Amino acid sequence: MVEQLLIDRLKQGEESAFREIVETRQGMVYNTVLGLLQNAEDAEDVSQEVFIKVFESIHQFKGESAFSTWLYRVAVTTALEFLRKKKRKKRFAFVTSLFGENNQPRHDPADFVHPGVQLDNRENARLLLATIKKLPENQRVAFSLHKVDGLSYQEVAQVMETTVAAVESLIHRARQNLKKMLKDHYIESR
Amino acid sequence: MSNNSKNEADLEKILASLDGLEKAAPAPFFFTRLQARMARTENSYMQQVTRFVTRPAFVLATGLFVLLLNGYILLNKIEQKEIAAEESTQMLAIEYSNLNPTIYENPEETP
Repeated sequence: MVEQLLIDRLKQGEESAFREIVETRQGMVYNTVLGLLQNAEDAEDVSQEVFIKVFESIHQFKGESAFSTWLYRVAVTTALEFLRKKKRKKRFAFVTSLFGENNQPRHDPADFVHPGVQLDNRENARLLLATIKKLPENQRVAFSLHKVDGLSYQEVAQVMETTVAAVESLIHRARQNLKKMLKDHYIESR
Repeated sequence: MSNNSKNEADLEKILASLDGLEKAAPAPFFFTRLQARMARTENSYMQQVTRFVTRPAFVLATGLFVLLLNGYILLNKIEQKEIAAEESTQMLAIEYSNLNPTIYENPEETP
């Protein structure tokens, strides 16, 4: 009820409503985006982009799903668009992927560790996150939403606009692929 | 413990390493930075449009396009006028030949 009022106020262009939405949801959006991008700077940029999109397209939100589900969808779509753009840039312009506009190196840090990881799990989490990057897009999204954001299968299904069974299958396949990749690349090399 | 089961246990440990993950939060003053970006984007959009429209290449291309369009319309009009003039001459010729039959058209009527 309160949330609906907030959305109505935002639809009328009230800045205070927008501020309230950003203040209360910034953690959720940032966490989701960070889980998918695995880069703190990019996650900050893309999170800002998500809220700009929310501000500009709030009229498209018809209330058919919960606002948080819609927000997760916007966050996931924006993060995936960013990743695709990055991949395209890398493929077609190797030089620009190495150097940014100010000739600063822009290569990704290879050893991203999520800031929320427990200290004794850091090394394992680093391995897992690096391997998650290699998963197919939909498996990556489902796995990240479930593991990093802590969403249930039901909630992941709503965000991805699919069935719970499909999400179960995606996460199962993601686990199998991760196991195989970890086995091939890390366990064997130990 | 055999090597295989140790590897399996290690794998499970790695897969479970994100369990109980604490939520990450953006740096403080996120909204202030967002507001600044929105203001910057708004300004830069107008600047981009102005810069694009005033580029010599854009101005030249637009001028050339207008000239070409003018030329095309002009040529079309001249062509239409020529066709109309030709048609009216033909009509006049047909009409004239109907009104004044020559002796060669009806040889029986000749004295």
